[in-house]
Amino acid sequence: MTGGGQGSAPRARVLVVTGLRTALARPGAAPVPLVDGIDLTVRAGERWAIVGESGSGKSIAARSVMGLVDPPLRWSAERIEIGGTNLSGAGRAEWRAIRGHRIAMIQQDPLTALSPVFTVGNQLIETIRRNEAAPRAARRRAADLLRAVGIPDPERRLDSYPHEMSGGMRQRVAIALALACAPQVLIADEPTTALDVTVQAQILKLMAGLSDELGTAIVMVTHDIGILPGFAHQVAVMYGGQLMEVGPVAEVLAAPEHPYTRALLAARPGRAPAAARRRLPVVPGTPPDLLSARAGCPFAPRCAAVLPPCTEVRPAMVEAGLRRVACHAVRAGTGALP
Amino acid sequence: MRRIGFMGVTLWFVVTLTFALTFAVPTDPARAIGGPKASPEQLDSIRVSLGLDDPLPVQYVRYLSGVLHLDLGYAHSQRAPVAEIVFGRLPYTALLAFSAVLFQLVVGGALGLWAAVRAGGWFDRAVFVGALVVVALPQFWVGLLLLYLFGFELGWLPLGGSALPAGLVLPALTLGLAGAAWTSRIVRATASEALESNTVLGLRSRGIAPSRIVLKHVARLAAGPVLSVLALDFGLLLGGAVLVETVFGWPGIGRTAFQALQQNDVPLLMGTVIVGSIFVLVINALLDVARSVLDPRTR
Repeated sequence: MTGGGQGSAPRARVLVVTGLRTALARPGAAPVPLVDGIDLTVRAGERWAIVGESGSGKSIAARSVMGLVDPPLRWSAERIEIGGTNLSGAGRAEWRAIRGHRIAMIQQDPLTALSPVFTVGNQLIETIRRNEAAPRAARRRAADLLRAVGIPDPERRLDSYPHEMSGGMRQRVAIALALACAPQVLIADEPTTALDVTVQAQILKLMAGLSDELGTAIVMVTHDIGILPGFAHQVAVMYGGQLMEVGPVAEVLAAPEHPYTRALLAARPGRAPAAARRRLPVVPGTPPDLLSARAGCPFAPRCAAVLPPCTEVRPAMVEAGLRRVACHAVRAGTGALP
Repeated sequence: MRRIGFMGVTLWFVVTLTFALTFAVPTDPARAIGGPKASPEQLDSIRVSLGLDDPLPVQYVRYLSGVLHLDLGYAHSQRAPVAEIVFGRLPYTALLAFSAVLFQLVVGGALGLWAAVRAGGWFDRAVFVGALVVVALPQFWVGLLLLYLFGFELGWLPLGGSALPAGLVLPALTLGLAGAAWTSRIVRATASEALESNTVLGLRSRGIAPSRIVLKHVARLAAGPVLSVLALDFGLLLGGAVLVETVFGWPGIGRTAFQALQQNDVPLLMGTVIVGSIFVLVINALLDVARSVLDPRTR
């Protein structure tokens, strides 16, 4: 790996995906593309947010990156590297060796993610013992992990069952489980959606702290743009299974380029007092019907800046500085319409 | 505590019902004891000696207090106290029932788990069809068929009796076969659901071995529903034991009940029913404990 270097040289790439596609296979019909060609490069310690509405394919993309999609879903990628290991064409055993060790996942609902019939300690130790053979050392490490995710009295908590804990505590346990084998990348699929707002903030703070401390990269899937500023460094805006705009969070939020990103940001509940009495703006139209075949940009039917090629030719990703945007209008310089 | 009270009420209900039934059946106990040649005077004296001339409530209270002291009356057909006979036979039935349940859990559980892992494949379909066929087969016919095949034709196993362990194999198989079939269905259903669950997705995302996921996590999640149904059906299983023990000459309380019925030995029949009920209640209590151990949420 090419880490370090002088000053702020680029850190090691812990996750590289190009041309990620996941489709729903149908008997006697063409497969339905749900994730339609995504490229993503995540560096050590970076925190990414994949933002999109329901049905944009963001969760399926996150699962595909871990090779965790089952029939009738099928996925493929031109290239996929996790923690420096090339996984193109890897078999089950190779994937299994990577999962937990190099890449791990935090799920949306901490109640169903943990097994209800085993103690927290049992589940933690089971995962730790993939590396650590001695039971005593594994138990010590399990307690350390619980302590690291901010669970008080971890020794005693090892013997608790998930249903004896609150939602926030369970999500902390889920984070501890994901970190058990010290992965380089953590996929988090809406990890705070099932929690109430104050707990959400605590969990996000915990995850950010752990990622700073351990150097773990996080790829968080979310529909909540509000949590980006304090948490993520990079954002990828997804729509209709494709990436619309990718770039540093501060830049994208301050000056969104893609019409979809702009519509999405405009639809946030207004903070300015003047806007308080206005109707909430919405993105006009409805999300695309995934079953119908489409050409061009998936956002074209709802887009305010639509151009003739938009409905026919899929716009290519264009790099501009740290930003990547897939839009004909931006390319033509007509994107910045109201 | 509530559980014990509930068991007591159930038992009282069973005792009262069996007592009532003895008056519903057209059998004269005095005639059964005295035989067809007994004179009316002899029959009367037998009735007096058994207390059958007392008013009904007196007989009922006497019977109830007898049960409480484990005195279930006298079995004239075997010339021995009922309690002595029935409790002597109970271990055989317990052994048979235990073996049958073990068979159905192990075989049905394994088939159901593997069918769920290979959902939609040929194995899954074969188990599905096989379970339907097995459930549809009459138990006595299965017993006779097995007896003919393994006992007579192949000569591998004894034709009957209580030789251990060879004599136990066929009756346990016959008694547990239908249970194995429905166990496989329940396990298939719960295991399929578990395999799709977030819990299993989480385990996979941490690289836990598939064999471990199935044998530790999925099996444990499927065990709860199986034990619930087993508790409900255990009485039915004992009912099947009457038939199976008779076919195979297995000396348990099921066969005793059948003999008592043939010989019009009402006290013995009542004794088998009451002891059988106690057995079912105790097993149910044990299964309840087992379930709460397996699933901490039910505690």
